[in-house]
Amino acid sequence: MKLVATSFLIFILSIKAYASTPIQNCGEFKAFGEIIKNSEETGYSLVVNKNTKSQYLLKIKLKYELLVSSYIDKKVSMNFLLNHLSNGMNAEIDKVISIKKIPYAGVEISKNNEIELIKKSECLK
Amino acid sequence: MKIKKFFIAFILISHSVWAGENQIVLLGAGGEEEGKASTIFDNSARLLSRYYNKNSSSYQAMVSYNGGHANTEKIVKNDFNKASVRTSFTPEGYQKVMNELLAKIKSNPPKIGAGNQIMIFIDSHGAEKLDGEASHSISMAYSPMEDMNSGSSKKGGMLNLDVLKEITDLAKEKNINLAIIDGSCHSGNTLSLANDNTCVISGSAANQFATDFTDFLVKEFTPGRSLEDAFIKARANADGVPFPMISSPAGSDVQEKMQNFMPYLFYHENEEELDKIDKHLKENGNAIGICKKEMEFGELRGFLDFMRDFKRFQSNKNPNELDRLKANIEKYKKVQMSYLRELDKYSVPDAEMDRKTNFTSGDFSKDYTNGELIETDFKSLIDNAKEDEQKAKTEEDKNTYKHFANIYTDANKKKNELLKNETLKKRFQIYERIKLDKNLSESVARTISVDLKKVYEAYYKDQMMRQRDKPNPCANFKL
Repeated sequence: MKLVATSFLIFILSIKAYASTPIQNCGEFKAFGEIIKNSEETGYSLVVNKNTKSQYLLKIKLKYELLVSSYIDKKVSMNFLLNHLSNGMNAEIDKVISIKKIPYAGVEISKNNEIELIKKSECLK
Repeated sequence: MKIKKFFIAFILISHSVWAGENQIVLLGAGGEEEGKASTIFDNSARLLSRYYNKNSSSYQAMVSYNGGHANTEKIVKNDFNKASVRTSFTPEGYQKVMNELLAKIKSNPPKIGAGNQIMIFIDSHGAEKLDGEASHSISMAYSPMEDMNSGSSKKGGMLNLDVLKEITDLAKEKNINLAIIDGSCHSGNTLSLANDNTCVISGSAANQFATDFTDFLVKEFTPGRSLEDAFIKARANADGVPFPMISSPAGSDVQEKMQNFMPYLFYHENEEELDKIDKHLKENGNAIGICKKEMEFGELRGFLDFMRDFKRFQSNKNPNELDRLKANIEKYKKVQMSYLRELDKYSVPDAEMDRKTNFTSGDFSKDYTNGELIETDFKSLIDNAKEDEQKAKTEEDKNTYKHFANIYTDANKKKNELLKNETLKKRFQIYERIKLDKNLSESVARTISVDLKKVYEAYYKDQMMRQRDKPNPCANFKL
């Protein structure tokens, strides 16, 4: 009985550990991630929690491509605006507010894989 | 009749002995981003409120804290509900608290007088010491900090802690026991406010970021214990790299002796502007910097050799804590020195490194630093733009990608021109290697910090015994 309970607990905990939190709001966000070239589509994206079950893929609009072009394949912290919601893990960035390179090795990875809502705003229809 | 007079006199004397207030003044929680409910300063306020509420018969409280963050403001409202003043940490709010505090000291008879205690507890974002400052400045409310080093904020709301000099002078003049606890970044500078009646404790060294040392400190606030003892306990328990300091005689001595260890507590931060090791290497990558580092290292080694005589470090553990510390510092020094020598060899004025070039191609215009131009892989960008031109679904998008490819081609030409300057090229290559070098990461500094804390504690306790006859406001301040 104990074994069943323990297994169940481990199962619940493992679900929690791998659970991803969809983006549920529109507004200004700050995220740590990497700028990557889209393989299927044109352009570039900001990927957060790359290669995990909590990966966010945020496509960058064409008009901001030149702004992010110095950061391709680099780790960055980016403030951006989302005006529309999609499926929660993928979205299109409506405005790149600022982008900064995280230049150093040896920085704790957990700190650099976050997405945070800075200021909530109404989603546009 | 005589007995009655004696009784009245006794009442009056005992009243004068026991009269007066002890005061806790909580300041800070400024500089945080707008739009959040909580701040990183919530925990220290909560912990301090627990101590205050348990001992509210011994202390009065005044609070000038935060402004604009609902949860932090709620802590002030609920947990300090007995405080005589509660304001946001605005210039007006701070002034209101200080006016009331000064009025209590200057009133006749004084509400706070000889033998009373004042604890000024500060927890905010803190800037590096600027020219002309004896201590340093901290962020105030509604002024999100933009640059943690220089302390510039969006709305300019900084408080130069030199203003506390008025209260430290009064404490000395009136024989009040004053404690200033500054948990902010770069708070080692605040020790300049110490005097024979003022004990200052900082959460970090002068050129260092602070974390949560004040939380550890407040947890050690046990009634009857001296502030100095609470500091020693908290310092031993606190984790992380920050180097908390105290202005006691033993503290002043040990901190001076250990000043040369600071560059071995620097490491890569996750933002370039905040990086201490990067700045240290770039500033000292010259003949003078190298010579100074060697000299300081010699002194550091001499101090560690001196510590070998301490009983604590004579164990047969293999490796001994002191040997391990020495080996780790030597290893870190070797890494730092190799970069200093290389940077000295390829010396380029900083202005040239950060010089911005306006790059224009068609209707596109952008200021690139020399570094950005050299570091960007324009060849890949050209290939990607050509690929996207093929994939694009509309004619407009195809033209945009074609335009991008032209811009990247022009930028690549500019980059190749720069790379003709061999020294500039080499120096940027060194910068890049510094950035990617995991031997300059936090884990290296943290390992050193663990053993350094033990050296600090051993030397401190030894000096406490030797310097017990000197005035020590940190030992006199009783919790």
